[in-house]
Amino acid sequence: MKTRKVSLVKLSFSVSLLSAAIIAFQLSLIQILSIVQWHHFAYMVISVALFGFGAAGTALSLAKKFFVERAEAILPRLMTLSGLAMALSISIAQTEALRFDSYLLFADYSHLWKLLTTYLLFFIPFFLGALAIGIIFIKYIDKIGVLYFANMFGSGLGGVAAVFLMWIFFPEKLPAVIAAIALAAGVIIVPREQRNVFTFIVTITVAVLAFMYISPARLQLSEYKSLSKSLNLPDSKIILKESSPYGLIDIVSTPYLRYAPGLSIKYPGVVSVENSAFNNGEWIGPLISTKFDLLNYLLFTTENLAFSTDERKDVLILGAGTGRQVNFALLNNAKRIVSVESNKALINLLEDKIADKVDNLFKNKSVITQNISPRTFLLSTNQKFDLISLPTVDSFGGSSGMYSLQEQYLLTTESFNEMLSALNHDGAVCISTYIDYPYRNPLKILATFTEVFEKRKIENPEDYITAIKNWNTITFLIKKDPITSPETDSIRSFCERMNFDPVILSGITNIERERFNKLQDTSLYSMLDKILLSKEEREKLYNEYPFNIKPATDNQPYFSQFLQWKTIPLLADLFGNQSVPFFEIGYFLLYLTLIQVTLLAILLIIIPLFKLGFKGKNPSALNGLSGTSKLRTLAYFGGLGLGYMLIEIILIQRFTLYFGNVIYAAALVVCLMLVSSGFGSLVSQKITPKPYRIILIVSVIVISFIVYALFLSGWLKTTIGFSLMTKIIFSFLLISPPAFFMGMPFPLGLRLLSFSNDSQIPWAWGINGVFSVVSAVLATIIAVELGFVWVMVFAIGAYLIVLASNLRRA
Amino acid sequence: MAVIIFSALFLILNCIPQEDKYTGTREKMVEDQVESRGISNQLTLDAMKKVPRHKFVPPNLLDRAYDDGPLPIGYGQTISQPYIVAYMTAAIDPQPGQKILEIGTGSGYQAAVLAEIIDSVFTIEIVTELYKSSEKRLKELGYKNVLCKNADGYYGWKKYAPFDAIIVTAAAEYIPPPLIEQLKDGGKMIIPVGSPFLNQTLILVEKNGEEITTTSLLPVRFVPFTRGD
Repeated sequence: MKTRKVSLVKLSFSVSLLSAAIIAFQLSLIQILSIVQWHHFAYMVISVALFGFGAAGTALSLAKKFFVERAEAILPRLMTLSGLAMALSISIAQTEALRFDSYLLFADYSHLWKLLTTYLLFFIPFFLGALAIGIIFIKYIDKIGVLYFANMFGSGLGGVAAVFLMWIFFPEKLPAVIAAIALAAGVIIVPREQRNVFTFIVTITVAVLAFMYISPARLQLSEYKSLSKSLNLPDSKIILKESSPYGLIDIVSTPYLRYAPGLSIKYPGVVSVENSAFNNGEWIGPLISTKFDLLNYLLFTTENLAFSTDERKDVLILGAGTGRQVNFALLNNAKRIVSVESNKALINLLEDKIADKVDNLFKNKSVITQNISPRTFLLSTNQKFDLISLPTVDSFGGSSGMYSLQEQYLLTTESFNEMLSALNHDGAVCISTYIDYPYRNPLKILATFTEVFEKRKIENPEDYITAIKNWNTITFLIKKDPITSPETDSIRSFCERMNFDPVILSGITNIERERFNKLQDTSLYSMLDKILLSKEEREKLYNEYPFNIKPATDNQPYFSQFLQWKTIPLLADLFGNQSVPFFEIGYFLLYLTLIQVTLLAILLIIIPLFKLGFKGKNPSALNGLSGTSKLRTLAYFGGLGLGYMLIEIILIQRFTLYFGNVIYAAALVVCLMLVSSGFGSLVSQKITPKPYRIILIVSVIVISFIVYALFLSGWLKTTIGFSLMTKIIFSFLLISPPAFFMGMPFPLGLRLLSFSNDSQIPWAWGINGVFSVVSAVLATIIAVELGFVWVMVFAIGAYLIVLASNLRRA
Repeated sequence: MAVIIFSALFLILNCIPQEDKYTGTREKMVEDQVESRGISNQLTLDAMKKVPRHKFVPPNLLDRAYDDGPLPIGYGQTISQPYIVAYMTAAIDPQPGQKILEIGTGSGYQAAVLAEIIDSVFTIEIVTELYKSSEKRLKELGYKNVLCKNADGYYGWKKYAPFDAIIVTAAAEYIPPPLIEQLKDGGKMIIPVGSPFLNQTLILVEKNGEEITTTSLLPVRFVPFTRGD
């Protein structure tokens, strides 16, 4: 039965809703996978799942006629099925038979099969949704400008909506809510002739979604997550849950979790923790009472070094978490404590619902709370402090390299320099780390501060730095002014009382370093000495040491990324093949993800060529250059997919620091980019596609990127202290104009292709989708290996490839 | 007469432990993974050869029981790599007649190895399910000199203190003061530090009167990870 064409308005609205649902589902999936597994696994699974877009392009290339002829009938069904798959995929993935544990992937290989199944489960909703969008694009190619606008606009709004929805709904319920949006997209375009049949389908679907909402899948965390292990302890239970875009916070009541890093072996009392906070299943910190007798163990830790040398009245706590260090400062009679924490949901809890669990610590008039990223606070403050305190680096028991890909802007040379500038005369920065083996964290921390002092033209940094250790923790104290002789004596006396050993101190001997806590591998001391000795010795150590201990910078802010490829054979030999991934599992996963997405990309690009032809005459080509034209198509649409995503990632990175909040920065950047690009696409509908016009537009884009590369960081730094509204307006002015132009090449290119090689349209669309996914992974690798500046260079390069491909109109 | 001889033979044969099919694998494990890496403490080596490690791993990982690595046992815990178990055992130098406390029974494997050497092993596990399964397993395997408790190991086991040595297998961020108290003068405590699937650093705590010292140990097999020292 022939169905009537759908009106453009309804179609656009439907595309918008479906696009919004797809993006919102993607974000929801990231959230859920970060809770049950770890962020890097979430990233890996989603990268593969997003190949649903590329696969849709491939499917359309192979069966274009079939889909297009039945479009009106198929589209509502595809959208509905996509919604159903969104709601059901999580539940199915969480069943006992299919649930994988990323921690066991390298230890129990049966989990690999479960991982593959998970890929497939999450692939389906993206595939179905993308197929629907692809069919619409192809069938209504003459209206691609309007439809692409709808796609981009919807995607932008979907991202913002997801952030908003995460405040309202718990993660396990969100997929059902989002699925309803996809269902609505399908309902809008149901052909009149099929309304009866579709009413039945909708009813069933609504019933399923309602059930999934009322009785959602229980999220099963990896048994190796801190929360899982804590809940195994007797009498442990979750007493409160709070969901937000920052993650899922669990407050756990347990009488057995005791947290006291750097505690002296001489401490005679009890360490007690009643309650603890977790975010996405990982430990944030203890919720401790402010009563002195329950707190005084803090005075027996290496961190108390800061207070043992001088009075510290004005204290800045960067990354305050649950307030343990705030307690520390109060215990030591600090008068003004600025507590900086970026997790708004955690702050809300500590000030309200669980304020009693911390004895209303954050209502103390000496404590001033700032909800902003610690680094952004440093960039925008003029205040000075006696002490700046950082959270302990790395986690006890080893994080197995889970942080290797986490951007840590607080631990870069620029950040350490800003910290020193924010100190009063005689002020100090205090930072602790667990003593890892092979030694990495302590070396990198010292190297970072030493290079900062070098940049400040201070020739003898050892006069400004001291460090002490116990059996598993080393605490550094870095002063703005040289350490005095009385301070040196205080430090020695403190160590003697507490069974700590000084590690860096004026007049230190190796005997002193090993008095109470011996290291079998004493090379740590000689390496620390080399770092302090001279630039030449330090550079030599960087080159010779098998791990990367060069300081992180804002351009490459990956402090916990220590692995070097050249040392993997050595590590395997020393520690065994099975252990190697756990050194830097995030890093391994990144490359594993790249391999997977590259192989899939090649497959999805090549398969349609079996139908389109690899070379030789393409019946649709008017100039017989079909082989070349395919290469042009690949370069053009691949370059667009690559470049767009690379720029998006750069901008998210830059604006995260600018706004001090990764969630809202990402939402703002993505929304502005997609909506602006959508308007660009809409305007392109009025433009007759000609190669020279595309060249002009892409040239404008390239020039914008060059301007970004040269001036963006400076502009952001200058305006970082402005009000929020001013910064939002400024962001709009910076992002929207280039993004507007960035929305044009894709629809123009598709329309141009429709004049000569319309059989390539689905393939082109698929290429764009595939390269978008690959570029997201590539961006991280480039950033880790070379720095964000090079991500920008690659983005410019991608658009230059688009220019060079120079799609022709026959 | 023949009946007596045959009965005696029967009795003798039943007293000799039958070889399980993993005996050869176990001996190879000790040879390749433990002895070749420098562990020479004979009591430890003998104990490792006796204890059927495959009885302490989940059934689906039976084939990997004697692999050179840790294995998951549920509840976020692992059974340690054989080498680590041997190293920790040798480090505290257990002798017949001693009393040793273990914090974190887990699968019970470490307790079983110790039980082959010393008189009394006291082992505490806080996770009830693990406590129940390991206690049952140890009983079934005939380890009568192992006493298990389901409790918070932070407080040690005062009733049976002091101990000649203490093994803490659960990763601890600090050394609980009660454990220091319950360690005999001249006693040793050993604690592994690190991620469960990564080779761990071992910390040896020694008590000599009022003086408590710690030493961060490396398994001898691994050369110090240094360059240009």
